[in-house]
Amino acid sequence: MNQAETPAIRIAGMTVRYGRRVAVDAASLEVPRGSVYALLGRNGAGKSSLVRCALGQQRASSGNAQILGEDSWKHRTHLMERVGVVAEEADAPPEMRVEQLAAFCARLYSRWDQKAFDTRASRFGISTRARFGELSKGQKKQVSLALALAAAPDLIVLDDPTLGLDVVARKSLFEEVIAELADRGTTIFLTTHDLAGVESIADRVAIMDGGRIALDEELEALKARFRRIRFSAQPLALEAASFRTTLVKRWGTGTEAVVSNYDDLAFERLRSSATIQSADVSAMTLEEIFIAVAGEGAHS
Amino acid sequence: MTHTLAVARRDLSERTPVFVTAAAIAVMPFVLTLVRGLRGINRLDIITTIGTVGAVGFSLALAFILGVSMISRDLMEKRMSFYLSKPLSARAIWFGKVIAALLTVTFCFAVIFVPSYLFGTTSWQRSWNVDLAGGLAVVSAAALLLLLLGHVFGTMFRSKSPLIALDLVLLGATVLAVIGIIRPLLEGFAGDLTKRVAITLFGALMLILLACGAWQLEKGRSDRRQNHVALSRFIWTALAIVLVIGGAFTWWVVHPAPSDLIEPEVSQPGQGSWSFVFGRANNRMDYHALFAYDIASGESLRINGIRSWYSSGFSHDGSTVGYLKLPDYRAGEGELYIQPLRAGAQPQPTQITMTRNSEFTFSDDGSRIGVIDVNGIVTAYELASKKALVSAKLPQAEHVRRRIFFVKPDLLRIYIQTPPYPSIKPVASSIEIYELDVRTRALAHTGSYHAETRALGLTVSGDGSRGLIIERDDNENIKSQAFVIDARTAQVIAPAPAASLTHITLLADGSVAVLLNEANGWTLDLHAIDGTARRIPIGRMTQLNFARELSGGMLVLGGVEKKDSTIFVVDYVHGSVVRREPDLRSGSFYGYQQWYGTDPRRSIADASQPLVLHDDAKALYAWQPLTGAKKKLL
Repeated sequence: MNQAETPAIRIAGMTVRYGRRVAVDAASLEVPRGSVYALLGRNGAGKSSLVRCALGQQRASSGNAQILGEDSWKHRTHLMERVGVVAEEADAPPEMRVEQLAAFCARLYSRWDQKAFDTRASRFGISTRARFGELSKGQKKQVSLALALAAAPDLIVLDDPTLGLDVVARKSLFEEVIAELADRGTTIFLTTHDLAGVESIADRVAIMDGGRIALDEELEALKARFRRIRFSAQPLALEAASFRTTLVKRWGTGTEAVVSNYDDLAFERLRSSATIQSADVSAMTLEEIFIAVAGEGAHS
Repeated sequence: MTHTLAVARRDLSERTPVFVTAAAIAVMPFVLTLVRGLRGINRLDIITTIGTVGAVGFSLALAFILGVSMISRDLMEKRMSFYLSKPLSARAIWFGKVIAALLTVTFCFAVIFVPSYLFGTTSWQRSWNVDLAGGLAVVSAAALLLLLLGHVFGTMFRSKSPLIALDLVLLGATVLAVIGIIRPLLEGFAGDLTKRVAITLFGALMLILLACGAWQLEKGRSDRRQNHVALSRFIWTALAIVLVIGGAFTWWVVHPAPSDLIEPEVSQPGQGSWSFVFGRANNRMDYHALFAYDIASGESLRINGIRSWYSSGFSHDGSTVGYLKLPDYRAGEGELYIQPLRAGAQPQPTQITMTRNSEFTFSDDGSRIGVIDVNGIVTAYELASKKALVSAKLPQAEHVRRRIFFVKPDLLRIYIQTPPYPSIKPVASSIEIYELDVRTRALAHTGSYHAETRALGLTVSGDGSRGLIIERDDNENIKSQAFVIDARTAQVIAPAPAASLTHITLLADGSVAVLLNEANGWTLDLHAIDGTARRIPIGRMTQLNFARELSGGMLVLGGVEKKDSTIFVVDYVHGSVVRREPDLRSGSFYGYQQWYGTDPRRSIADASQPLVLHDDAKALYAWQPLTGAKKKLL
């Protein structure tokens, strides 16, 4: 496998335990180079533990992680030269001024672009004289993002980057920053709760549920195979039509179900069935798919 | 290195409040001189004292606080990911933070100390009376130690892990192990070696503490509990290796053979074939080993836990030695042990507790031990039953010399001498004599001797009936004088010629022997109790001292001419020198022991037994005084 074919991130059989609690349970995933990969999951699903282990900041109980083809635990130091990280919690020292943070990073990265940093800070409206601890939660994220991007990374890992950002900043992050990076071929791995924002830019998504990777595939394929079907009959009818359901609930006198292997032929067979009086199908947003997979009442 | 300095620079950039505080403290000594209540005190003394105390106190406290916070605070507040998400190695993070902390402490110390020192250099030197460079080195080492210990404590306690309990147990075990390494060396008088071992252990500890932070971050990364686990593993494993090496070294040091002794000293009892040999051991710096050594067979018993033979005593027949074993070298109290002098014999505890400065003596039949402590309590014990038979308190206890012996197994005689040491000028001096009867349990004051003198010496005949007392003065107004006395009552029986302590002795037949250096050389003058005198010429020597009295009316003298030694055997009954042995000298302090040892009686050596003597190269020989046969021992 040549370098271009090596995934930007490869996680294989990773388990993370805190005492008896299993935070990540035998998770495996691959983030293709140049892609925008969104890892979704509810709070406590194990996303941040997986990200820390992937970045070599924490040792997994078992399994391993590779970044850009190298073991991230063993080679963290030089890998971080090529990886930009925006942590879930702003972790820069609060006493430092933004300009001091930039100066500190400038000494560490060979590809540091001070102009790019200054431009982004200016675009975010952040004074470089401000102390990091005095910034709002959203501004801290923006500074962290500007620091990460100024090092011109090959891979950028964003752990819940929109946390604390207002609507405008969130939109700017997804539509301008990430889209721009993606256009330049930078691999983006992000965890987020902002499903609407990520839906427009992600190439591939994974959903974590209870520490496990419940789903990992191309976004388009995912959206193509998930449908909501409403029909006037018992749920048993779906099984007769070979649909796999992830969420089923009563709807008036009929049933509403989310199926994860939708195809038009099967749906036509269902609709033409003698026991069905009416049946409608509708496409689903990523958020709806997420709720169907990881929400209350979801089943595989 | 660039990354290390980048981290150091980052840490320093947020220390401005600390530097401001240091500057405020630096001003305080100068401000305090304006306080009305302190106006009576020398201004320079106030400035230098407060400046120095403030600089040292602030720097050490700051070092510990920085140590506690420099890594563990970032771990606690989940900020370590800031460093770990950058191309910074664990080494760069750790050493960068250590450098920043050390620079902060150094700068703060300088800010507070230098102005006060420069303002009153002379006053500082007078007040503190320490070498500035040495003082700074001690403060620097203390600051580094506190910084690193602060880091260890911070990591351990902030992890909130139950592993801390194991750490505390291992800390206790480490302290015990260090004591186990150091104590045997101190017990062997090895001050210099102990200092070196202590410095080496301290250095190893510093290296371990310096390396542990980098190891901890490399293995624990952003997880505070994993940091604690990695730190503990590293520290305790590294310390265990150091302590095992240290323990093995100490074991080697304290297990020399008698043949390893360099220029050994000897203490030889009057009877038996065993002696104490004591001295520095080869390749062990100033470690001194003590052995009971059988000159007949070459067997030896290593004796630990006593500070040479000064706190020991042989039984009359030389078959047993008793010694005070202290639980540690600083202890004031220990247990009296009995060591039978035969190969393979184990020391036996007696359950007799003694203070370090107590005196003890065996009865001549070896069945009992008499002890007198610093409080003047005298006790007779029976060894077989390990029971105290009788105990009494003497009126005088402080600032006295205590000497004790069994006149017979049921009777202890005690001499209490005041003052205990010679004086520069003549002072009121006395010897009070008591007897403690084991059967009647009565303490009787049997006599006393008083004199105005510089030094009072007493030696007693082997049967305890007579004594020779000497008042040493030797100035223009008062001359030294000596008397033969009744050893029980101190009544003067006859005057005796005065001489220095190593030139006069009481002989077994009750006469007094004196060595005199006259124009024709040394003579041995013998003064019988009836007043008659005889003179035996010995010869020209630079020095001549009494070495030993032998059974059968013979005296051994040790002489030195320039650097060459000679041993003389004098038959004082027949008035002749019967043997001269060149290149041999006495290895013991016998000449003084008769005057200052616990038992004031003069012991008479069996003439058929060899004497342990040195040659001029300090090798030990067994020398038979009757035949002149010589055998090298060590």
